[in-house]
Amino acid sequence: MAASFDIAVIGGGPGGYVAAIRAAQLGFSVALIEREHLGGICLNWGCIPTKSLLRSAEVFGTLQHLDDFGLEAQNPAFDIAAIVKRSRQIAEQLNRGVGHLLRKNKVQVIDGSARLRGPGTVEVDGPSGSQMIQAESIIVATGARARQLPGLESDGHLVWTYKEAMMPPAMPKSLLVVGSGAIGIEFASFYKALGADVTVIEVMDRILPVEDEEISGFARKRLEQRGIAILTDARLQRLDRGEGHVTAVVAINGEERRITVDRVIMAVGIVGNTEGLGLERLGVDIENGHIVIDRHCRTSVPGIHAIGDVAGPPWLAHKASHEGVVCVEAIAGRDPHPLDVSKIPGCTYSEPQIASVGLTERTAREAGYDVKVGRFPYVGNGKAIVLGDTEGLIKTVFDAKTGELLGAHLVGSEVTELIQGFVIARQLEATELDLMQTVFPHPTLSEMMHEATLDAYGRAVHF
Amino acid sequence: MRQKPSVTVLETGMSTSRTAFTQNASGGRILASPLAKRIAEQAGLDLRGLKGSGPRGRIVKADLERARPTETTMPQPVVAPLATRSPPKDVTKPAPLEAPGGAYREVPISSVRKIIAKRLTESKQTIPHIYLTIDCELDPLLKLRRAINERDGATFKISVNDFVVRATALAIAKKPEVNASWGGDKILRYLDIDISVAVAIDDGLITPIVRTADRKSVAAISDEMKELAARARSNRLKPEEFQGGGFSISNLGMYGVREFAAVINPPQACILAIGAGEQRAIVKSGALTVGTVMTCTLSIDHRVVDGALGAQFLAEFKRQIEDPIGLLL
Repeated sequence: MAASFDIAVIGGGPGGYVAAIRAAQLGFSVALIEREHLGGICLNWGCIPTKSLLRSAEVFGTLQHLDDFGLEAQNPAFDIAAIVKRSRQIAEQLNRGVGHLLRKNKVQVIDGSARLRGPGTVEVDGPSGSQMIQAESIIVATGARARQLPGLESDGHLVWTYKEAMMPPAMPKSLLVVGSGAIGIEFASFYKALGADVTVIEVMDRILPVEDEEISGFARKRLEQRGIAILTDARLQRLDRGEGHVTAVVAINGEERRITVDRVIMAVGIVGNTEGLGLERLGVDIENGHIVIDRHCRTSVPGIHAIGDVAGPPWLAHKASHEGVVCVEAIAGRDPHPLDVSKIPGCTYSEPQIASVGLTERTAREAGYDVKVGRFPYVGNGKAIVLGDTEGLIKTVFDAKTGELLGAHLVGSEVTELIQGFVIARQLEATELDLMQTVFPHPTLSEMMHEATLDAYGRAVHF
Repeated sequence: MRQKPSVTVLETGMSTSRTAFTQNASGGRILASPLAKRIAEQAGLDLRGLKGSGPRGRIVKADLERARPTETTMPQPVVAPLATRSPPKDVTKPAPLEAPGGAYREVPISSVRKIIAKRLTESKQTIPHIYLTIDCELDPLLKLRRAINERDGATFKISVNDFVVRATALAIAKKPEVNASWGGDKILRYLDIDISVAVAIDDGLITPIVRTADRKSVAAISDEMKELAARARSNRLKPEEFQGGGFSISNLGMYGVREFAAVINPPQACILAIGAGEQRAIVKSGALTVGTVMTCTLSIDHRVVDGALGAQFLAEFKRQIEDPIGLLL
């Protein structure tokens, strides 16, 4: 006799567990099937542990400039094993927290790998054997994994993906990061802070290609000042793996260049975990490695839904969580607002940090908007000077006609904490007047958000 | 949009228009995002009656785009900022431009044209017009006019229109109820008989006022009209010379127009439209004769003046015109 639920969620990451809790709140009986760790990649192998590593790197970086603050310390040093250990402990702590939340909401967690037998039936292969689960609605939230390039696959030893990169057994002396998206830039920033020679190669003509050009240029300059070598328009041709080192053959503008390093981190995007679930057999449409969904996260097969990374970009934990809520509320017969990609912020936690929401200046112009652009540099902000972080820029893009905040693009200290102000503005459809009339506390970094808005209208006060 | 001044326009524009656009019939607040309010204001859309798709039915940008399916998020045809920023009650505000059918060039609008557009649109849209038409036999008046103008030593030429102004003034004196304005919860009845006379000027018209016309002779009216019209054409009228007045006359007779109905010149309640004096076949006592006839049409604000009263006024006017000696007394 199969166990029966209203909703079965496959995958316990930030999409799946949020969907499960929201479903339980709405009165559904819910099963959540997880094959590895509650909290998914984000909590265990992504967002959270990498932030722990970067925090260690940041503190270590501050130790290098103690004299700026009138402080002194002898021989600041780090222990890579202890840094990694801290990140693992934080991941475990949060992992237990998710388990607690699911129990509290009476979500039944089932360990094992799921496979759809038919609409409404899931087979789970777990440690204690196989079992069948009946569920009226099935939510696929299986996430994604690092993309592997043919011939350039990771090997777990010399060529890493994010997973090996966040648990280095020892510090590599030199490192090649392939790909300059958020993941690549964060690891480059981390390893550079701890003293490795770091080279980043990017196939596009600039790093962080989804960010505003001005911001990506600003970030590049800062990273290069920190000693990170950055090669753009650079395509990885070959990896020659030797004894304890790798030689990468890179084509840059038709010229071949050989770069020999201890380790390589492949950060060239991700692909959805669509395989092994029996989706194809049930007729679920899959395109480019991702499940095709509609605005309410329904797949092409009734009763089967998909959320998060497995359902396509942007590959962000907060996007997955929101989709989880939208999906469940739609199942409950509500009419939730579908996710608007232009209101989803993106954050990179390197030194300097980068954060953005909405259209870049270029994409806004290409979309036909007449734009007003505002900028404010960190050097004009009192709190930034107090923090000793005067390298940064806040940029706003407004629609000249309606005053809509089309986008905001930030680089510098703590911008990942600042961006939500602009996200709220976009969500509430604030115009420039609403932002101008908002009182920002002094002294804070957030004052620069105000000034960048004023500047778009020629009214910046402090610069 | 211009760089700096636009901010000012915007800020001052907001307060009035927000109120007008974002309150429902009972004066309550309409739930809409600031951006939705501004887009509605710029497009001249009323948020009342729109269904919001945001939290608690909040109207958001996407709802406005759905309400205007032919328009996209793309910037719309550029309209002068002043026009688009003006408060929604401004009836001269153009509806969103339709795609022009053929080749054209844009002609800037003079301030006079702006005022004409605003006032006459308001008039036709808010005033319930009625029209009364009457024929006046003109031969005795023309004969008298010829006699006056051809007198030995006559230094002036009195026009038919001068007689019309005088006849109007005397008719008003008999039926003062037509010299009035609608005041919302009252009627304003003017104590002086100040007659606005439409004068064509470059790209527009203006209505200089013959004040207390009932107390002026035809000759005095004639002199004053000549002088006012000359200054009107050279754009040298003082504001008090064309602002005010209780009753209007518009005469297109000199162009051969047989008859027409004029748009009321607010806040006045009546305007008298004068056609050409022309020879027509007249049936009198069963016999056909030829006579010069002038057709006059009175446009009335029905809120102020009813048809019967208007008719009595017109009959009095006709009597004055057809008994021109009385106009000289």
